[in-house]
Amino acid sequence: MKNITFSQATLEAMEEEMLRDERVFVMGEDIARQGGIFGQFRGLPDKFGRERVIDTPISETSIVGASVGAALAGMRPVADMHFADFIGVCMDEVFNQMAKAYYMFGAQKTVPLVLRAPDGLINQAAAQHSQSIEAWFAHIPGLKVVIPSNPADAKGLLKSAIRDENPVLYFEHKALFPLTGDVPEGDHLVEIGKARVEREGSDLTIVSWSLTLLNAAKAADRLASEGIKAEVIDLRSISPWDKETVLKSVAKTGRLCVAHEAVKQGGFGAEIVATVAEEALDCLDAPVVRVGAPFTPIPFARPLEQAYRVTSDTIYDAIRKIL
Amino acid sequence: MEQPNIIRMSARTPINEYGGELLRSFYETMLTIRRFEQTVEEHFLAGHIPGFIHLYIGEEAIATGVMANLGPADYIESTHRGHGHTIAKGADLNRMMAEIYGKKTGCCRGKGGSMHIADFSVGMLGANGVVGGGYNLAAGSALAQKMQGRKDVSAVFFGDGASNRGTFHEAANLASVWKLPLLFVCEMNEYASTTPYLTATSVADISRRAYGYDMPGIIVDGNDVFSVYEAAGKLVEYMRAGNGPAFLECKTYRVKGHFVGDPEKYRTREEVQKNIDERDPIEGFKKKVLEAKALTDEDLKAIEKKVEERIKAALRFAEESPEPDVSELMTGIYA
Amino acid sequence: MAVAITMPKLGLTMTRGSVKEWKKKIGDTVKKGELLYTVATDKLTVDVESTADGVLLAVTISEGESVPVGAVIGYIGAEGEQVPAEAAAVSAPAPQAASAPAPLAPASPAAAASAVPVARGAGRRVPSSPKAKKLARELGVDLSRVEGTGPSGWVVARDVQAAAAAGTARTSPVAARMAKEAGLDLSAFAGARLMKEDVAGIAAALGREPAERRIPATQIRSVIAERMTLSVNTIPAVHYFADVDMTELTRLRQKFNGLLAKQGLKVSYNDIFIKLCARLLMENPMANASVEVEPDGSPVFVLHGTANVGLAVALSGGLIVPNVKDAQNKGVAEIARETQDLVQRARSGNLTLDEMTGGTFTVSSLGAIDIDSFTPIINPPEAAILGIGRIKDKPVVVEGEVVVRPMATLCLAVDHRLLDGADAAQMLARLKELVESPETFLL
Repeated sequence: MKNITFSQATLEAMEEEMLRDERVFVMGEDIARQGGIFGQFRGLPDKFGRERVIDTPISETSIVGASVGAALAGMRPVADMHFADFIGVCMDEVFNQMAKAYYMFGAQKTVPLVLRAPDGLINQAAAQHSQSIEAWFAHIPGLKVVIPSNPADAKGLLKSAIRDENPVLYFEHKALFPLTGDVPEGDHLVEIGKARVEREGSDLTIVSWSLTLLNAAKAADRLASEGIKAEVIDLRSISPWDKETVLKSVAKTGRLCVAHEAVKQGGFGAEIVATVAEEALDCLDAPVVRVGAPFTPIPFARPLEQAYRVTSDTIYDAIRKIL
Repeated sequence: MEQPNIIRMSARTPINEYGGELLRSFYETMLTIRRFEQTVEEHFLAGHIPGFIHLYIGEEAIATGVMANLGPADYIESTHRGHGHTIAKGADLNRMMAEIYGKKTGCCRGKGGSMHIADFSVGMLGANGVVGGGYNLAAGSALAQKMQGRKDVSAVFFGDGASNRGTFHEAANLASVWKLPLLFVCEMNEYASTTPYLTATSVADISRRAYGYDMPGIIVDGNDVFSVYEAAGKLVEYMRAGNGPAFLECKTYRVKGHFVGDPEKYRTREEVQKNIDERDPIEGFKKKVLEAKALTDEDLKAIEKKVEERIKAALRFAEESPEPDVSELMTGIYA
Repeated sequence: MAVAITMPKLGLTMTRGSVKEWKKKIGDTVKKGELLYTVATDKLTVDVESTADGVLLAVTISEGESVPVGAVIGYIGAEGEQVPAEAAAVSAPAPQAASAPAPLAPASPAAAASAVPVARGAGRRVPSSPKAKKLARELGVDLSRVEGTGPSGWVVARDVQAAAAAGTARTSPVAARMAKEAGLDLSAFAGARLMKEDVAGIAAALGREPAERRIPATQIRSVIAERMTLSVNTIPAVHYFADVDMTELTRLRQKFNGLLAKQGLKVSYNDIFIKLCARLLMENPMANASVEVEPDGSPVFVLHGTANVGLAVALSGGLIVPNVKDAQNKGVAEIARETQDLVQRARSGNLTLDEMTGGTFTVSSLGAIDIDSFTPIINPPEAAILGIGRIKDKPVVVEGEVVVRPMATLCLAVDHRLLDGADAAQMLARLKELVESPETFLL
C-alpha cells in the first residue's frame, strides 16, 4: 500500500502493463514531450521510448481510428483524448468502428483498446472542456465504460481495461488527478462490472461514481449526523454495470438516490432507476430521486458554473425530500 | 518550387515478359470478380439476397493489379464496394457468398453482410459501411506493422467521393509524418454515389492532394491491369523500403449504379455503354494478351471453365448453408 | 413473429381446460421441449412442454380460468416483441396482480357509521409506496386507514408497520375477505389480530350474517356436473338390486391374501369384483357397449372388444374413475397390483389421461363407509355401473334354517336402450352366482 495521487496511480498502471506486455503502447496529443496536460504520463517516454509513448498530431480521428487498426493488427493500444469532450470529433471511429468490429466481422478479431478520456468540471473550463458524457457510451453495445473515483480504483480499473479484449472507455475526472489515496502495490486489478460499497447503511441507497461519489459521501456524512444511515455505492463501471449490488441494496433500504455530474436528462442514473422500477418496484418505500446537472451547456462564469454543479448539498437536499 | 512528386504512367514491361502464370492469375482474378458480382446481382434482383449490394463491375483491374503485389501478411481496408478487394486478397469464395446471403457459414457468421465483409485470415481487415471509414484503421494497421518491425504494408481503398472526408486528410498527414507503410488506392470512378466527382471535388486529379502530405503518387488507367500492377509494384517497393506512404490514383468508371437498384438518373445510358464498349478491363486484357500471343484462346477458356465452377460451387454452398440460429444474436458482442 | 400458445387438446374427450400453473414467468426464456405450464383438464393435470423457442411474452388467461381447446393462452416470441393488440390488453397486468386481495371497504354507509371514528375515511385512494402496499397486503392492513408520514404524505413501510402494531385491525386473508363480504368495518378492533372465526362472531353479533357466497366451480367439479347431468338427461337407467352371500368371496379373498402376502400384495373386494364383472361383460356384450347417435338421429350401438373396468376413487376435490384395461385378460393379482397403483397416483394427482379415459364399465363401492346400498349414476358413455354396499352379518334362511351370513347388497344400474329388464336381471343373477359360487368361474 502506498499513498499516491490518482494521476500517479494511472501512471503506475500504465508502467506495469507496458512492462508486462510489449504490445501495449499509448498515443495521444502532448503525452510524450509534455507528459500529458495533467501530468498523467510524466516520465513514461523515458522508460519506454517515444516509439511506445507517441505524440500525435491534433487528429482525434486518427488517434482513435489508428488505435482500432493497430488493435486489429495485433497491438494493444491505449489512446488518450486531451479532453473527453473531443471524442465528438471521432465519434464514428468510436461507435461505428471500435464498438462494432468484433461483432460485425463475426468475432474474427477482438479490439483490445483503451480510450482514456479526462472528463468533468474543473476551473471554469466552460462548455467544450468540462462535460461528463459516460451515458452516451453506455448506449453502445460492444463498448465497456469504466469511471473510477479514487486512486486505487484508477489503477485497478486501468490495468483491467488494458488487459480486456474489448474496447474500454476510461473516464478520469480532471479534478480527481491530484487527490491522494492508498493504492495497493503490484498487480492490483479491479474487475470491470463490479461496484464497490463505499459504506453500508440501512435507510437509503446512494449510487454514484467519479468525483460526484465524494460529494455523495459527504452528503451521507451529514445524514449520518442526523441518524440516517445511507448506503453509498461507487458504481465504478457504467457498462456493464453491477445491477445485482444496486438491487440488493435497494431491497434492503427501500430508498434510492442516484447522483452524477452529467446532465440529469438521459443520464445513466435514468437507466439505474428504470431498472429498479422494472425489477424491484415493490422494494421501494419512497419515490426515487435523481441528482444531475441541469439541462444546459456548461457555462463559464463562476456563479453560473457553481449553480450548475452537483454538490454534496444538492444531493443532501434531494435525499431529504424522500425521507 | 519542388518538383511535383506525382507522375502519370502506363505499363512499360512488354506483355510477353510477364510470364504465363501471372497473366493467367490476372485473368482468373478479374473474371472471378466479374462473375461473382454478376451472380450476386442476379440473385439480389431475384430476391435471394437481402440488404444493400454495391457492385465492383468494371473496376476489377484495380483490385487485381494492386493485390498481385501484396502477400497475406499485408493488410487491406476496403469499402462498401468491397467484394472485388476481398476476392483479389484471396478470401474464400464460398464463405464470402454465404456471408452475402446472411448464412451461418459466412466469413462473418452472417453478422456483417456485403458491406461488412472481412477475412482476417488473408489480411482483409474489413469492408467499411462508412465512406472514408477505412483510412485511419489502415494507418493503425500500418503503424502496427512498423512497430512490430515487419516489412509488410497496408493498403486502403477508397473512391473519389471518400477523398472529401476529413478522415483522409488526418490519415494522410499521420501516415506521412510517421512514415507509415500505407498505400492510398483511389478508385476514381467518376461518381460519388450519384454526384459527378467534379461537382464535389476541388481537384481533377485526386492524387494532387498527396502533394500536401508529401507522398509520392502515380496516376494510372485503372482499367488497365498491367499499368495498375506496375505502378502499385513500384509504390509497394518504395513503402517496404521504409520510405512512408504512397498514393495510387486509378482512373476507372463505375459501370453499375451506386447500388443494385439505383435508377441512375444522373447519367445517360450512352455514357455507360461507351465505357463498357471502349474501356472494359477484361476485354482489354484479352485483346492485349491474344495479340501478343502471350496466352491462347484455350488458356482463357480453361480459366473461364474453372471460374464458372468456383462460382457455381460458391452459390450452391451459400444457398445450402443454414441461416444463423437466433441464439447467435447475443453472442460475439464482447470477447 | 410471436407464436400463440393455445390450449392443447390432451385427449379425445377434452373440450376445455385451464392453466393451473405457469412454469415460466413473463419475460423468461423458454426452449422448445421445456415444461411451460400445467393444464388442468378433465379430472387431471398435465405438464405441457413449449412448442417454440423464445421468450414468454404474454399470458392471456388468468390461472384457473377455463377456456376451450384451441383458445390462445399466451405468446412466445423474441425478446421485446409486440404481441397482437387484443392479447396485449389482457396480458398487461403482471401475473401476481391477480392474486392481490382488494383492501377492505365498507359495503354500506351504515357500516361505516357504526364504526368507531377513525382519522381518515376508508376506501379512499392513498398515495403509498410500493413497499408499503406489499407490506399492507402481507400484514392485512387497510391502507386507506393509515396516516402517511412519507414524502408528500405517502404511506410508507414504517406507517404500515405502526398501523399493524397499534392502529388497525390485522386480519388473515380469509378473515379480510369475509369481512368485506359481510360489509364489516373492523377499525374498532384496532390492534387485534382477527381470524375468520372472529369475523364470523362479529358479524353474528352485529346481526349481519355472512352473506351467501358464490364460488366458481373448480375444473373437476365442472366436469362432474357436466357428465352426471349428461347421464341423467340422456340415459334411461334402470336399477336392479340383489342381496348376495359373501361367505365364499370372503374366504377366497383370505386365501388370495395368504398366497400373495409374500409379494406384499393385498387383494380388495373391489379387485375381485372387477375381475368378475369383466367376465360378466364378456358374457353380455350389450352391457359392454356405448350408444352413439348418427347424424340422422338414429342410435348406433358400439360393442367394445375389451372390458376396461373403472374404479370410482373419491378424492377431496371430487370423484375420479381410473380404469383397469383388458381386465378380462388379467388375473386378480395383476388387477390388485394395478388398482393399488392407480389409487395411489389418483390421490397424488399423477394419473395419465389414458388411464382416465376409455372405460367401459364402472365399479363403485361405498362399503368402506358403511352404506348398505345406493343407486349409482352411469358414467357415460358406459352402459352400466355396479354399486356395492357394505358387507354385514345378517340372518338368512339356508336350507330351511336361519343362519348368520355375511351379506351385501349389489345394485346394477343399466342403460335401458341397450339392455331390457330380463337381460339385466339375468346378468345380475349371474353375478350373484359368481359371487356365491366363485368356482363356477372355471366352468
